Amino acid sequence: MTVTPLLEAVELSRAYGACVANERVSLALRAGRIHALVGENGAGKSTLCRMLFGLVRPDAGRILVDGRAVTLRSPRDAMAAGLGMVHQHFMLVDELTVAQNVVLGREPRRGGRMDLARAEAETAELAARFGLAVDPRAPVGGLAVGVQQRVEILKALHGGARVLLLDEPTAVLTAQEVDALLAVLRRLRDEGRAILVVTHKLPEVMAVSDEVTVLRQGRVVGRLDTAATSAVALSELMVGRHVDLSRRPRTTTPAEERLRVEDLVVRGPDGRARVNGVSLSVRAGEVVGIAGVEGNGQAELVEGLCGARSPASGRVVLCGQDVSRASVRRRRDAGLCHVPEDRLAQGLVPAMAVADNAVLGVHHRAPASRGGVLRRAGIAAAAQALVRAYDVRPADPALPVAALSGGNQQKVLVGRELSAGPRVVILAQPTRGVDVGAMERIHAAILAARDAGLAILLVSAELTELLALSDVIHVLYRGRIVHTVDAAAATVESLGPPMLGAGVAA
Amino acid sequence: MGELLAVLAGALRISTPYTLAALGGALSERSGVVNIALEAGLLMGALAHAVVAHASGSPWLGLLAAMAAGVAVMALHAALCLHARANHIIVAVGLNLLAVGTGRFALKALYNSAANGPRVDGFETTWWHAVQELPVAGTVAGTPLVLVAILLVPAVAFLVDRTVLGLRIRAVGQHPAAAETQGVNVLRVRWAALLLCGLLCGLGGAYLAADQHQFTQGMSAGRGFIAVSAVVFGQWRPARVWVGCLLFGLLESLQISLQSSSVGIPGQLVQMLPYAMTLVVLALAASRANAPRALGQPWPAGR
Amino acid sequence: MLLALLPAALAVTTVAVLGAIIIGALGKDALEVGGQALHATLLTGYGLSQVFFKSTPLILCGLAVAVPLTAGLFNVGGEGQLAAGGLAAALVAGWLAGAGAVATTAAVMAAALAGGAAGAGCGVLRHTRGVHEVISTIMANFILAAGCGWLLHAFAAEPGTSHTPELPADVLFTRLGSVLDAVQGSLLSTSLPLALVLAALLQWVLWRTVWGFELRASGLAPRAAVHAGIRAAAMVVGSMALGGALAGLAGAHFVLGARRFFEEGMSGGEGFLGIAVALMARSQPAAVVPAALLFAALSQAGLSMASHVPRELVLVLQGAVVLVLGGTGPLVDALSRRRAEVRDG
Repeated sequence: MTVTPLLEAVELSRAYGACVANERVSLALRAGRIHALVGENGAGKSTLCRMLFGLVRPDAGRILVDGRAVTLRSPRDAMAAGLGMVHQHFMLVDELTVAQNVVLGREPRRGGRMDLARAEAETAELAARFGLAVDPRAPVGGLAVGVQQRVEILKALHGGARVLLLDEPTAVLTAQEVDALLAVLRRLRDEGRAILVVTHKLPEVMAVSDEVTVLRQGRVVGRLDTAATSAVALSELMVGRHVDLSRRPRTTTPAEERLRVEDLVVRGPDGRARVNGVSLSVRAGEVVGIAGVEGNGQAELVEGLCGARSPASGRVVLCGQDVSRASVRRRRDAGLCHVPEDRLAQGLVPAMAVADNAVLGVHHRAPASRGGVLRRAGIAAAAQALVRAYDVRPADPALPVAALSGGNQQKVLVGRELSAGPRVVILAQPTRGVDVGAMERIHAAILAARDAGLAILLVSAELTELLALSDVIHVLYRGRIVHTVDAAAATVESLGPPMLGAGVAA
Repeated sequence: MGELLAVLAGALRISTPYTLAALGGALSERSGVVNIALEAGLLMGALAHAVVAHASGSPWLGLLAAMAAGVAVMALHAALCLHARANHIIVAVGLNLLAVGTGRFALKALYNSAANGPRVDGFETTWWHAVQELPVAGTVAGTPLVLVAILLVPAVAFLVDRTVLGLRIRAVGQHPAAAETQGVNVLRVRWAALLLCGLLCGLGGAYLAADQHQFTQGMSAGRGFIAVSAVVFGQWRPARVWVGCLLFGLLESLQISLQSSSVGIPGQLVQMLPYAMTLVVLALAASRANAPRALGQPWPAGR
Repeated sequence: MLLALLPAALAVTTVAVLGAIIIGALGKDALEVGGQALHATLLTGYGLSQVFFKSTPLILCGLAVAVPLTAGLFNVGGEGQLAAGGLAAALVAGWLAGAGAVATTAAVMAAALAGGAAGAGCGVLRHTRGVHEVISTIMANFILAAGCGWLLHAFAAEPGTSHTPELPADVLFTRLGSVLDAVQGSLLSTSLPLALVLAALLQWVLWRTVWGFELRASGLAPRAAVHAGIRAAAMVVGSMALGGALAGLAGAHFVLGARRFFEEGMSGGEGFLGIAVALMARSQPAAVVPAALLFAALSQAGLSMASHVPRELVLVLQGAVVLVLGGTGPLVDALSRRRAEVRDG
């Protein structure tokens, strides 16, 4: 085919400081085709997307729309050029209605004021045309994630997008919602739009795309027709080498119970129970996994266990000691450490040095301090040990944590928690947004901790991670454990239905 | 009955500068800019009104000058917060200090006085005197700005809820990135909100100077801060913010009638009342849970 | 090191440029007026001793802002805390008149307690009810001003005056002139070394103790601090209490080191100026001292040119300095970050 692509990237490059995110990346999107952009975390997919949508300016290279070179200074330029984007983290104003969100920036007016009725009519019409069922008057904040995503797509379509860029659109969706999304994408393709789907989930790529571009470390390493390739071939291209994330079963048998949770109820800030009667047990030398679609109470469960949020009822028993009402510090001192899911907001103090972060949480006891006074030498030694053991780069403990890459930040966090002498470790999304190398190192550290006899509770949204590391997997759905399975017997497919609440009385 | 009416009329008059400043504050904060510089806006408005009204002999020119002064204060606020990415609170503290200093300096430099400026005429015109002769309306209406403030409540509510600018103000205050990706210029919307805020503060300042027929040093006397409290109390919604302003006005009006009725409560204790009530009201009723989510955050984020 | 001096350089430039413009606009020769003021302030013994004298409450009020700011809290209540501390000092010193150093010590502690209670109250409101400390401390300023006025007139004022009875010399801070010939005849008293020692002590506390570490961590990343087992309540209430206590000590300085009695409106806005001082010092207690000296010099220079231009000019310049420091803060931050990255290579 020699049809002019609707959107073409020609040798785009972009660096952040010393880190090259994209290097001479080229890509062509044609009408009536779904193009998948795949790559590991940190391969530069989002950067490319952001350049195509005018959110980031390329250092070099050109962007062509209908064969003509354009300069995209802002999303406004991109939209004017016929591009629309569905962001990984939805760009929706929760307090506004669906229609208000859809028309924001190009509001229909009547006289001096906004014509809300027309906005609602336009939204309803678009929704009907593309089978995106949604109530134009509903406040967006109260909608389910899948519905919110429909609003995102509607926004792009309302802007007249002929090219649709979707950044990790399935990351937060349930399998059902994914199917619905893929159906919508096919319909849009058949209408003659060009679609770019950015993802690292290969089954979806195989299911929906017509062609694939593979990015690795900021460079294009493959351009293929989907029909002519396979998920296995793609994954090897993505990673560039053989990565062993398969199961490494434990060699020891679990010993005594370290953490017991009985009928735990944790309420969110709005007073609703987010964790609703969870009971579980973690023994020394075992990894217990918590699976579930995000937002089903995982964050509150972790906060309730570590003490950052006090439980409404139920018991948390740590090594035989009831710590249900204990402070975070008491639980830490009793041997309960945790890696919170949002490392930059909850786990680390980005503006402080690596050394200070290396002792945060254990700063009140030796070796970091004595008698309420910090011990510089003790802190420096602890930091050096951590930097060396986890290969933190750059290996300068005086550097603020904010200056490190996500993977290195996570190494500091995981390393700190594992070296605090814990008896129980709770890890929430320990490898989110980190590159493959850091992921391998973190996984190895978790397994080593397990083999050393620690009790580990692993909360993750990545089923492959859970399957590779856990001994037992609980599925959390709407704040309850609805399914428990031996990890050796579980598969990605078998965990899907319970994660969606299948077989659970609503 | 007459006394009650007097208290209520007093409440309406006293709440006027609160209402004007707080409406401005609500606009500013709905767009995501923390604004505790309402005090500076009021004070500079009052100064500009008094100076220009005195020099020109026209209170209406004074009113224009007051609005210009309020806008100037908030333009400085906007420039520093939106472009220099300064901390909104620090900027406001600086503006408030600068306003107090400018007021005192101007009094000294222009009128060689440490405390107050020369007398200026109020807005009372012939036709307005006729209104004031009316039995009830006259007592309540005071100066025209009292009515203007009342009319501005639905006007600002309409602006926020029903206009394109209002939708964008709400959007950039809640989720600037979402607005940006829809092509809305976040900084421009915040500028608009701040300039409107300055306009309103200027009006409030003009009311103060016109009401007392002169400018006195520090005459805003914390009213801007009470207006800030009213914004929080009213959960950033114009109508509710107005209710807050009326409440504070009523308290103060009661205080004045208490003072004059000499029930034996020391004046200083009564003076504390509005400030103490502000704290009590904020502690009991208001939560920041409904605050605009991007309040106080620089845009673009990061860096 | 140069970066640390940048805020001061910006402040001096602001004062010089804006001051010159305003003085010029008043039809005066800015160079001559400014030069005379500088000479009278920095090159005469009297001028210098006045600068140090005026810097004492500024150091304390600067620390009163810097400590809570380290925990991410804005204490705008220095003015009210200062009044509370001053009244407490005057009352206690009055009761214990004749007890000498014991009375002085007790009065100083009472001042710290009174100011500290005022600060802690706002901290409690912040932590338990979510009332923003900027609003609550501003309200507290008005409440404390009125409250102290009431207490003064109802119970403590010398009949026929609006101040407390003059305190006997034995309970006052010792004049430094009595032990140090060089400053004989000046107003300097032991409150100056007290302020200097406190600045040094707090520098150590914030950077070398566990409590200071926790304060810094919760100021920079409050949620991470909670997850690390740091109690938010202790940080919020503790830092506000300490800040209030420091401002209360400034009140003690006015009563025991300057006026010999408590009166309404005792401070010349030192409580607010402390914000400017802390900003210039970038919340570093040790740096509060030079910053306070700079503002004290500015204020003294304003006084010494009062015959040429209104001394209220100083107030305008102070406000402008806060704006310039606030406006350039993010830039200075960015520069120091850039430097850290460059050093890293």
